[in-house]
Amino acid sequence: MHKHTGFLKFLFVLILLAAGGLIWYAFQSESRQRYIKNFIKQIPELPGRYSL
Amino acid sequence: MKDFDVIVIGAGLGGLSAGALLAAQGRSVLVLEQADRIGGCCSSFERDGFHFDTGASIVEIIKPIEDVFKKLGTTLQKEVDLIPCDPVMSIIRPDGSRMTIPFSIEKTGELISSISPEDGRRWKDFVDFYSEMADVTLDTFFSMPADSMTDLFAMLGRQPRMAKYLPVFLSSYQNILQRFFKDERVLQSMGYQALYFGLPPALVPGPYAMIPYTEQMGIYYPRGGMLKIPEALQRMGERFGMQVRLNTTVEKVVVRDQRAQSVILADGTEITARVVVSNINARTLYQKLVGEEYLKPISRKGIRSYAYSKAVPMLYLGVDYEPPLEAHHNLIAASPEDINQYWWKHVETGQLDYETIGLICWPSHTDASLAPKGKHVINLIPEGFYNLAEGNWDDLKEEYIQKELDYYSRFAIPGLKEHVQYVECSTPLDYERRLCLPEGAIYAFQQDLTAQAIFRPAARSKNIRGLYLTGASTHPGGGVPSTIASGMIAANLIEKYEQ
Repeated sequence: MHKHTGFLKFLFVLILLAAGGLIWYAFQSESRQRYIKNFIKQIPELPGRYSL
Repeated sequence: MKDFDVIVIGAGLGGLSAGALLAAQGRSVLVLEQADRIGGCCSSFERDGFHFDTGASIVEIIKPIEDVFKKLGTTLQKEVDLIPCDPVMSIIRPDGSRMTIPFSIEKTGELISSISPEDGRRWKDFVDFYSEMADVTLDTFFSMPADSMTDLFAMLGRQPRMAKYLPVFLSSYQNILQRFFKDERVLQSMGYQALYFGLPPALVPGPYAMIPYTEQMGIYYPRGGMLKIPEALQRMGERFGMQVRLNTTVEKVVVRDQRAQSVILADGTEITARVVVSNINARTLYQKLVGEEYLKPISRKGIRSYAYSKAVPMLYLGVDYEPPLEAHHNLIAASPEDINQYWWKHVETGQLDYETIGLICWPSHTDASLAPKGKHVINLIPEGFYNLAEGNWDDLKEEYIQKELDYYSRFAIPGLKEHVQYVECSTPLDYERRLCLPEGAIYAFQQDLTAQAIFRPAARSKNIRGLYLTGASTHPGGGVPSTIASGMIAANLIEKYEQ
């Protein structure tokens, strides 16, 4: 039961962070949105690049 | 017993600086170059009495280069006659009017104030911000390895002020410029320099917006041509016993027990060495010369993930008149947003635009010895790219030359077409063939935030022992000072790890 509540709390914080991030992103200029989008798009590549 | 202590593949700036410094450490060094001359993109050639530069057109941020020559027991100024370029540049607007940026922080401020008093006031804030940042990065980013998180912490340890600038990485070049400047005409003089990093202003990380400031630290041209810089490195290296072999292609790096052992040349000769230094594109190195089978699976994915940097065509012109230009570097005016739009509409779709933004270099303005008396040398560098939606560069070349001459004659350099005595064009395809730059990529890989520092292939390979990287593929990236700095970083690592 305790474990279950902990997970829900974690999920709630995660959703809050994601929502906050999305709101912040929506208020950025178009060029900054492109910069951030380009960065996020490449995040999956970072471990491979770091390993070289 | 190995044939050499060190074999360097490629006599570009990174290879020569590493080779010279390693020879100065007392190691036997052999540099192998596939072309018939040294320097890679920083080289020169002569046609009908005109001396042209292959690619690089000026040098700025000279501190890392000075550091290398100091380590070689001399000075940059003693070995290369650097001529300051003043004015720093001239901006050519579509109506033909010019804005000439002087080599003076104060006078540039006055010029900006005459356009926009508010931006003039902000120029001072911009200079204050980036002068400190330039000091910090030159002492760390351009001189220390960035292979791991530990290296980054070491940089922070050396210059704790770096922490202050970390948030700048979260903004783009364009965001930073627009934070300081509002007037479109002012922004037109600072947006193009983002392309020195191979990307439009919207994608280049904010720290590089320091270029409009570092240009005011001085931009220089080596008397006799850009080749004088690699020649000086070669001369210094040879003083310590370094050997350079031209027209020698390396086909394979032999790896045994996950350690580089030797190289195999195109004629089948094998040359052994304790250490191999690569000055070629890291994708070519790992995928063709080494072989992906020697990489960890995650590293295979990593090396495939890099996008090649931008490529440009370049027109080399010998003319029999003094062109109506005002500076060594002349830019076709374009705001950061204009450049972004060019990128999305043309580079990303492969649709060639003959009337585009570009750089006009007039090296004989700075050094008259490059052309016969009364004549001049001009290099046109219109923005371009490797992958065309239709046709190929070989078929397009002649038409391309004529269209560019028409365009530049119309407003940027009146009279140009009638005065051309010699013309030659290097397309991205030519760069690929002559200089072994895959897809003509002059900065190796795109230099966005995710391909910087620890996310660029490490100077000391994490997969193959005894293999070190220099040049635009590795930290600190492409450009004359960066590639020379990469050679120094590799030489320092070899001194530390390869006794």
